[in-house]
Amino acid sequence: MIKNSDDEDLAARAASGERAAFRELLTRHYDRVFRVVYSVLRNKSDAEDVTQEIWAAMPGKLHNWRGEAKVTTWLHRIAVNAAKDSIRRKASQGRTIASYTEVQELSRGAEADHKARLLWLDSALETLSEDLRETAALTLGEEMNFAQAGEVLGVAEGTIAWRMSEIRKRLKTLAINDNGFGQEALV
Amino acid sequence: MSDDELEKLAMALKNISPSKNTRKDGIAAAMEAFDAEFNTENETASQGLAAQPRPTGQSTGIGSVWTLGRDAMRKLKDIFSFNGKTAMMMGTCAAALFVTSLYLPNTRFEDMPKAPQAVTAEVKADDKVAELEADIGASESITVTGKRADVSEPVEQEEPSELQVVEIPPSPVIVAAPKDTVDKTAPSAKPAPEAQGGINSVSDLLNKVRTDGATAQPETRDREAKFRQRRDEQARLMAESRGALSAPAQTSDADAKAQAQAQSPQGIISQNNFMAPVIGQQAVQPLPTRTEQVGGYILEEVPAEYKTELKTIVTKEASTELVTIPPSYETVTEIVVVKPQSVEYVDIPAEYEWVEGEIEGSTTEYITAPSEYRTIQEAVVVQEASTELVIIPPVYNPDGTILTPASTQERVIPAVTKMQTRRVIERAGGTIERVVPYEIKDGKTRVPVKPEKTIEKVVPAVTKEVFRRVVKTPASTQERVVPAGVRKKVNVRTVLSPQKFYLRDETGQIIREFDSRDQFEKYKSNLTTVVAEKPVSTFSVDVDTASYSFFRSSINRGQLPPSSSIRLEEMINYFPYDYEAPRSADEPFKANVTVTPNPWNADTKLMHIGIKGYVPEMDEKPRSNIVFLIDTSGSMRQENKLPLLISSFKLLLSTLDEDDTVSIVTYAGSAGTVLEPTAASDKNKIKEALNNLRAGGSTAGAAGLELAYNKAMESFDADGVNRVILATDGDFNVGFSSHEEMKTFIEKKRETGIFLSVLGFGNGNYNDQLMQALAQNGNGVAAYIDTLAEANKVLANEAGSALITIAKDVKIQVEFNPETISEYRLIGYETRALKREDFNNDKVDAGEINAGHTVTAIYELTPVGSPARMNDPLRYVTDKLEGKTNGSDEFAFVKIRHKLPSSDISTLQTFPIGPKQERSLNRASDDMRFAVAVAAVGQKLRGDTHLDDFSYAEAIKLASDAKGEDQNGYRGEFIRLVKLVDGLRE
Repeated sequence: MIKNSDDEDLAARAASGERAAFRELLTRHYDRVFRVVYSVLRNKSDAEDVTQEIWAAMPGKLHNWRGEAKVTTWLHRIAVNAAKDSIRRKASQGRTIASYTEVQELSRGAEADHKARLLWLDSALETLSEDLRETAALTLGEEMNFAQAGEVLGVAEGTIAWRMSEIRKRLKTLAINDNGFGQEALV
Repeated sequence: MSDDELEKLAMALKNISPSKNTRKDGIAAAMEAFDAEFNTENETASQGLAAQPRPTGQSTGIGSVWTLGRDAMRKLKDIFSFNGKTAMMMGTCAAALFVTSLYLPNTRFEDMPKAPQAVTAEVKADDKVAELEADIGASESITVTGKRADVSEPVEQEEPSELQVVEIPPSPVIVAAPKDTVDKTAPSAKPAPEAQGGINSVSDLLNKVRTDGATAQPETRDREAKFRQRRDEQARLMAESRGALSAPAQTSDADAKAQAQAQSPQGIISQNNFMAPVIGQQAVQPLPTRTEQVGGYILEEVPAEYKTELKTIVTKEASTELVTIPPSYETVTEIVVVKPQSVEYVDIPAEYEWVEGEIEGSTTEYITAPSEYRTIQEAVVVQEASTELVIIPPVYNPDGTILTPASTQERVIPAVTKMQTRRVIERAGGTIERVVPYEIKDGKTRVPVKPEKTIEKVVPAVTKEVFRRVVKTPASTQERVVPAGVRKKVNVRTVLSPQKFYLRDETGQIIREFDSRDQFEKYKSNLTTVVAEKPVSTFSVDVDTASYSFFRSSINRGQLPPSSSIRLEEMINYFPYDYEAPRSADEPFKANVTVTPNPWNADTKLMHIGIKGYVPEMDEKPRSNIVFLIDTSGSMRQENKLPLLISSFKLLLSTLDEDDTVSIVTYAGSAGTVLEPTAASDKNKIKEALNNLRAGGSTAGAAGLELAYNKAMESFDADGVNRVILATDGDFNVGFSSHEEMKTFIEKKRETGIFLSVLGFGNGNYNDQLMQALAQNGNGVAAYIDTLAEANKVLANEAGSALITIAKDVKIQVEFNPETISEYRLIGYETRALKREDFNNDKVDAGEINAGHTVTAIYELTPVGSPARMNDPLRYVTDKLEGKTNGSDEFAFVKIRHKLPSSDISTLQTFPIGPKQERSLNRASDDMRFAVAVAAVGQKLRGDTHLDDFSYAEAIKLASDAKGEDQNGYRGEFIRLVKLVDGLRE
């Protein structure tokens, strides 16, 4: 019953205090929010924290749910904004050091493949500015079309198109400059 | 390849997920918050964080250390778990806690009645010290500093990553760092200055290190050394994981480490920084050898090789050199006359005296009278009348045939005039003499004592003193003797080997060599192949027609088209030919082959191959999903561009079915959607969108393409035809760093099932080569639209056919019989040649054929024994194939391979060609003779010398005789154009 309900229905029911509906929304979209936050923050543990924070604040925000947009669009907007806020509130250096520490820890762990992917992703995201990261998270990570991504980020569709070509360009530069690392990561 | 990167990023972004623990905690916290919000706590006590057992062993420690932020978060949740609502409060302040490596004296929080109001953190990256200042309930301030693990000391961090809590000895409130003193009042919000140049900008600093090099200040160098150290460490880390990545899954960690160690940090740096050739250490610049396919041959370009050496040269003999001696200057004082001396004329009035008595007489007075003026109105010519030549476009009948051909007419541009007010002197001013009688008053007469006179007054000159720099001695040259034996260091570039072009056959044997590309191009157009050496010719079909339209528009403008724009196959294939079609689907293609005498060379023959595909009966036309990608940059404003384009697309619109989808994307300055995917039935909406297009701005091609493909994806129809139609004047490169990159992008998109067709407009910017390449890579058609009639031909007439592909990867291979044919030459298709083995290789891409298209190919054949043979027979390898041939009297064997649009496996059809297909030119079909005429004209336009004896007039006659019905007037137009060509040559 709940499993088959669409997001918008669930959100409406959760807003009226239906616990199971909220839990379903949580399990459905928890990772999605994390992915978007991660793309913007580029740091796993921070992203995990911010994701927890977002969801913890979600019940309070449910009252504002008007059912005008799609739940995913709404969530993406919240995720992007929370991630950006988080960046703004903190100096980012410490975070970067930490992300290297994390990478280093991971490199000792057993998940060799996973960490390599993370490392590549990290260097890929590093070449992108905040705007481009948000865009990549929505268009590539969440497979939104340009209009949808533009709606979430509050920019024109053409801007998203421009950003995509920009992302493509930067990634290419990464592949060429990055000690050949980016290219090898493609293998 | 850039798209691989993008896909990889997409994959990576989709694959990330939070760790299970934080996910679980996050969900629990959220549920708890939900309960708090909606007061449903009692139902759920068992699920909240409160139920989680608090980890033991932490409550007694004073200075527990959390190494990662998420653990800090979890820990704090544990601590505050006595109150279910804390999670909510956490939400408001938790963000401040997300510093990753923190030391928190958790006992200070242990029994706090309230949550912390604010926790701020400061990380001093450079000192490897993390500080945290926590204001708790605004009552206490604690600053803790401690040495934290840093990237640059990886070896020290031996503890397993799972270990999140490290006990440090109990201490009162403050744990002092080994180096730094504790500062309780340090403003915590201000980031440490060192931290600002932290790892985030490492790459900047790396660049700086590279460029600054030796000139850096000592302290900078010190910092650089630190960064270098850190960078080395990162490089090592990267190398480590790269090793792990490229190693097979079974490879042990130790192996990966070993691999990483083999690649020392220094090694990586030197790759980055010192690979550039250093002059003086003898740098040879090895450039790669490039090869390209040319008509079944391979053209190898071996670039010149240079060696640069820093040599010390000792001048052997004394010599003289000219030395320039600069001029010398001095400053002089000059008196400059600002206003020269002048003379003023001053009138001194006459002096009078009153004398007694009335005296008759008169005196002369001089009166200066001003000029009298009058204003008049008159017409002034602003621009003279002139004439201009106007091209009057051809007039078409409703059926598309030409009613009146294009012509020119002289038009008089009338003179432009304007009314102007002018003042003219009516009467010139001057001095008037007046004779005045003496004035008599009261018996007295006024008589002049002194007459009026004018005296000259000299006004002295006004001068000014100025200082001026003057050349004392001018610049000169002097010969100076350079004594013998002077050592000089000079860079000497020696050519090790000059640039060379080698033409090789399939076996790699060098057939000919050239010193320049021009030399080769000249040779290429006359390239004939000896059957005994290379009996097989292979090429891909091409149904593009852009070259012909471009030719037409050039001629109509009164210019001969540049020879590089002539592609013979595109000219020949422009015309509809009524070839016999296959009768059933069992026979997908029919090759209509005719062998005739060659009109331009009596000693050779022509083999004409006309191919028509079987058009399957379609129950219903597949749905079309079309995205118009329209260039609206400023250069498109001309009448023959955007306005023509809009009319063209309206034509196409009329051929679409109701359930087809149309979207419009424009690009200029920035890309934008003008029309969201709209059903073709809503014609008014689409037309309105087209009508509102305006040109302006520069070209943002990359973003436009990106958006267009995205729109095509939105309304993608797996069973239908998905196509982006790009309309541009060819100025299409902003955003992509190279054409290669753009091609790759389009190729990738082709694989997703979205094809690209390119329509060229205008002539100023027209970038033929690029558009050709785009369409070929996008599985589409490139056409050049110069008139509405052409738009009608390409879009409306062929819309059905242009959109429905009946076969893809269509390749043609012809094997010649050395018994009957000694040499052959394929006319055109130079850019479409394939290797012999590519014919059977289904992985090799080739051209598509759409419903209704025909393909024509013409070979010039030199029969055995003909004096026309270009290449002399070899002396030593006489008749290589003697005794090995089967004695057939056939000329050639034509093979066609194609794939159905949905299939990846090709089908083969063969057609033997022999004397049975041979006939006189008069008895050949109109289609064949007309195609030959087009081929002849094309070759002449291209400057092929072996057609020098064949005149345009002969070509015109050949074409006129073969005009046939010419329903659409295309052939008639061609004949008219060739007549113009003949005239333009003079």
